[in-house]
Amino acid sequence: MNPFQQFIDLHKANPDFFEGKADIFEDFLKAVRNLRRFANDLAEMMKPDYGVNLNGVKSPRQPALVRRDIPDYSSAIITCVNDTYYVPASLFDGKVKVAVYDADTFPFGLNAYHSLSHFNRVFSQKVLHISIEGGAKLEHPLQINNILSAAVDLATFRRIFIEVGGGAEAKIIFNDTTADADHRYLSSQFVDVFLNDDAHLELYDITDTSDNVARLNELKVKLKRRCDFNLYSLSLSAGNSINIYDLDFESDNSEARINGFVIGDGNQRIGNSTFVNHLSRHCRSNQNFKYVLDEKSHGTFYGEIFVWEVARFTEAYQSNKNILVSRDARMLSEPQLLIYNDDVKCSHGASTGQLDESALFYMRQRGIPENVARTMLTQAFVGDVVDAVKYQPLRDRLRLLVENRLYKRSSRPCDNCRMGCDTLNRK
Amino acid sequence: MNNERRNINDSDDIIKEATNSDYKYGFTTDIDTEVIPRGLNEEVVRLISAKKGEPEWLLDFRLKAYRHLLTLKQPKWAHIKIPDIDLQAISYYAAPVKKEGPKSLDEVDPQILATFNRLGIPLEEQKVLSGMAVDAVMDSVSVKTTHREKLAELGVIFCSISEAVKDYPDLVRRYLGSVVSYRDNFYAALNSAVFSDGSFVYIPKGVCCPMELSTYFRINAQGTGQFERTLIVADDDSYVSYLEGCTAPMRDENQLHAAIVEIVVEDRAEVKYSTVQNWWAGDAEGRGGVYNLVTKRGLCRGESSKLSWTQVETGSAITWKYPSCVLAGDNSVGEFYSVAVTRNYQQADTGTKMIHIGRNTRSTIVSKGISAGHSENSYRGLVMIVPKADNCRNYTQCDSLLLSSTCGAHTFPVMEIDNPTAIVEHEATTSKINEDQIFYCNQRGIPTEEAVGLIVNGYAKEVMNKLPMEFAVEAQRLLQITLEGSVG
Repeated sequence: MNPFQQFIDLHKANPDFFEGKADIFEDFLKAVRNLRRFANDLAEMMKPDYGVNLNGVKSPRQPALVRRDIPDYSSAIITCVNDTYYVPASLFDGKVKVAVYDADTFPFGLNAYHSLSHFNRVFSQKVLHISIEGGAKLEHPLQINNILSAAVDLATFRRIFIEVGGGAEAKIIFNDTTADADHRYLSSQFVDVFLNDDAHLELYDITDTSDNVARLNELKVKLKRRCDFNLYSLSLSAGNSINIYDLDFESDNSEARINGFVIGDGNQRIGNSTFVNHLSRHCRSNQNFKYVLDEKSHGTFYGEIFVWEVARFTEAYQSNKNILVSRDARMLSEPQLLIYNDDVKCSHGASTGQLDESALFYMRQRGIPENVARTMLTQAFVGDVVDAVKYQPLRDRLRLLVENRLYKRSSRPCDNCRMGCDTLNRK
Repeated sequence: MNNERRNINDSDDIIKEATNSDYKYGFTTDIDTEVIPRGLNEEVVRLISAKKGEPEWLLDFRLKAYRHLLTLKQPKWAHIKIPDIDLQAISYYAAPVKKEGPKSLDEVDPQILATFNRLGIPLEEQKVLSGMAVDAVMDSVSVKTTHREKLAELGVIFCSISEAVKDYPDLVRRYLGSVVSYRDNFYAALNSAVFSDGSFVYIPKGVCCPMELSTYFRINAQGTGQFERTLIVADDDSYVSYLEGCTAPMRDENQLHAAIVEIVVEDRAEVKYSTVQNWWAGDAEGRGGVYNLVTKRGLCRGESSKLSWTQVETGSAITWKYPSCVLAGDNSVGEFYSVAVTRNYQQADTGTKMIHIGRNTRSTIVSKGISAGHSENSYRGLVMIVPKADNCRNYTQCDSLLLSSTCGAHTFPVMEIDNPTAIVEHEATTSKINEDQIFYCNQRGIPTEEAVGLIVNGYAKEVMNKLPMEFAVEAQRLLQITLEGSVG
C-alpha cells in the first residue's frame, strides 16, 4: 500500500487532523493529473515505498556534509538534513531571527494554495521561520542547504516561512543536494515569502540533486508596496522535479524578475510553473526561462500572467526559449496571458529549436572540435540567465558549475555532490 | 450587390449605415417550415434519417454517434461561461416545406429567394457574373445550388451532402468521419448523430476549380439548432477556394450551431477555406445570440499539400472553434489566419491546432483578437511536433487589442515539441490602441471613432489580405460596423 495513504488511513479517526480532507492524497494526484501541466508522471513519483518520518525523528548531521558550498563569500548557513533543521544560535548580529516550530503549534497560520502545498501541509512536522528585521541591509547571503541523506527510501517535507521587514535588503540561497544517491527520495518543500514595503530580496533556488529524487517545490511570494524581488530558478540537475512559483502583487509599484534555466539529461523530468498575479497598479514583472534538454529528458514550462481589472498600468513580460539536443528529448511549453484590463503592456514569446548550424560551422572551420563548439554555444544560450545573477561571487561560481555540467565533467569532491567546492578550489 | 461592393473608403455611407444598423441580418422569413417535435432520442435520429431517405450505413453511423454522445459530457475546459445546453429543448430538423424538388429558380419559394436577396447572396441567375457557385443552407436543408452544370463539366462535385449521399455514396462513405470522428468530442458526436445537411465538394485530380465555391448558412426557425456538415475532398494536384458565411435572426433565446467541417487534401493539392461568421451575437445586455460550437479540421494527407484557413469572427454569443491542420504528408503546409472581434457580452475561445506528422512540414498562425465592451476573447492553440517529423517549422503570432477597460484578452498557446530538428516560435502581445496614433488622426480631422476603425483595419490587414476579394470588402465593412459604438 502507498505509505501516504497508509498514513492517512491511520489518522482518519481524528476529525481535526485533515479538516475533513481525508481524501487529500487522491485529490492531490487527481488535481495534478488533470492540470496536465507537467511531463512528470506523478503517480510514478509516488510509487516507491518511501518512509515517512511521522514521529519527527531527527536525522543526524554528519560533519562532512556541512560545508560552505560556494567559496569566496561568507554566508550564514542553515543546514537541513532531510527534514531536520540545524540552526545557528545567531545570524547577522541578530538582524535575522530564525526559529523552528512544530507545525501543529505554528503561530502564524499555515496556508495552502495549490494541491502540492496541501499535500505538504498534511505531512510536514516542523516549520522553519525566518524573519529579517526591517531596514536591515544584509551584505552576505543566507544559505539554506537542503541535504538528502538516508539509508532507506525516504519522503521529506519541509515548510518554510520567510518574512522580510520593510526596507530590508537580503539574499537567500536554497541549495538542494543529495548525499546518498543510491536511495530514492521524495522531497517536498513549500516556502511562503512575505515582502513588506520597500523590501528587496534576491532568492536563489539551486537544484543539484541525484536522478533518484522526486522534488515537489512550491514558492509563494506576496509583495507589498515598492518591493523589488528577484527569483532565480537554477536546475543544474534535478531528477524528477516540479517547481511552482506563485507571485502576488498585493500593492502598487513593485517589480519582480524571474530568471531560470534547466539543464536536463538522462531520464530527467523537469517542470517549472509560474503564476504571476497582478492585483495592483504600476507593477512590473519579467520572466525568462531557458531549457537545454539532452538524452531522454523531458521539460515542461507553464507560465501564467494574470492581470486583474484593478491592475492598471501593468507591464508583464514572459519569455521561454528551449533547445532540444537529442532526438529523445521532449519539451512542452504553455505560456499564457489572461488580461482583464486595457491599460497594460504584456507580451510573451516562446521558441523551441536547436543550436545555430551556421555558428557551429563557423567555429568548426576555425578548428574548434564539434563537441566543444556545441557546449560553448549552449553555455552562451543559458549565459544570459547566469549573467542576470546579481551577486557576483555566485555568478562566477555558476559559470563554472554550468560549464562542468555541460561538459559532464565529474568535478565532485564526493561522488554524489555536484557543487564540488574543494576539488574545484584546488584547480 | 453593387451596394455591397462599394469602396470601403466611402466612409459617409458606412457611418450612416453603421449607426442605423445594429445587426442587419436580424429578420426572420415567414415560410412554411416543417419542424419535428423538440427532443433528442434514438427515434429522432431514425426519423431524421428516414426523412432524408438515407441508406442503412449512414443510419448506423448516426446511431453509433448518438450512443457515443450518451457517454459524453459537455466540455467545460474552454475559457467561456456556457450554461448547460438542454439537448431536449431543441428541434433537430426544420426544413422549408418541399413542393417537389425545384428544377429552376422559378420553382424556388419566392420568399426564400427574397430572404437571400436581402442577405445579398448571389443566388439568382444574374449572379453568374459574380463568378460564384452557391449552396445556401437554411436551417437544415440545402435550398439551391447554382452553377452545378458548369462545375460538372470539369468533374467538380458541389452539392448538398444529402444529394451526395444519394448520388455519390462511395465517395461520401469513404471520407465521412475520416477527419473528424464522431468520437472526437461532445459536439462532434451530437452533429454526427443529427446532422441534417451541409455541403459536399469533390475536386478531381488535376482540376483547378475555376470559381470560388460558397455556402451560406442561416438559422431561421425558432427553437431549432443548425447542425450542418461540410466535407471537402481535393484530389491530387487540384485547387479549390471555399467561402462560408453565416447569419441568424435576432431572438431572445440562444440558438445552437454545432457544425463539422472536414477537409481532405491529397498529393500536391491546395484548399483555401475562408469564413466570415456573423451569427446574431445577442443584444447589448448579452441576451440571446448563437452558440457557435464548431469542429473544423483538415487532413493534409498528401505530400506537398496545402490547407489554409482564414476566418473573420464577429458574431455569436459564444464561439468555440479551433480550425486545425493535421499535416500528415511530407512537405505539407498549414496556415491559419484569424481576426476575432468580440463586444458587449460576447465570448470567444478560438484558435487552431497544427499537428506536424510528416517531414519538412510548415505551419503559420496569425491570430488577431479585438475585444471591446464586457467581452472575453481568448486565443487557444496547439503546435505539436511528433518524434518522427524532422525539420518542421512553425511560426505563431497572436496579438490582442483591447478597446475597453472591462473586456478580457487571453492567450493559451501549447507547444509540444518531440523532435530536436523542429523550429517553433511563438510571439504574443497585448495592448490597447496607441494614443499617439489616435492623436495623429484627430489632428488631421478624423474623429476618434473613425480613427479607431482605421487603426483596427490596419491591425487586421494581415489577415484580411488573405481573404478572397469579394469577402475582403464585406469583412472590412463588417469589422467597421461591429466596432461602431464600442469605443471608449
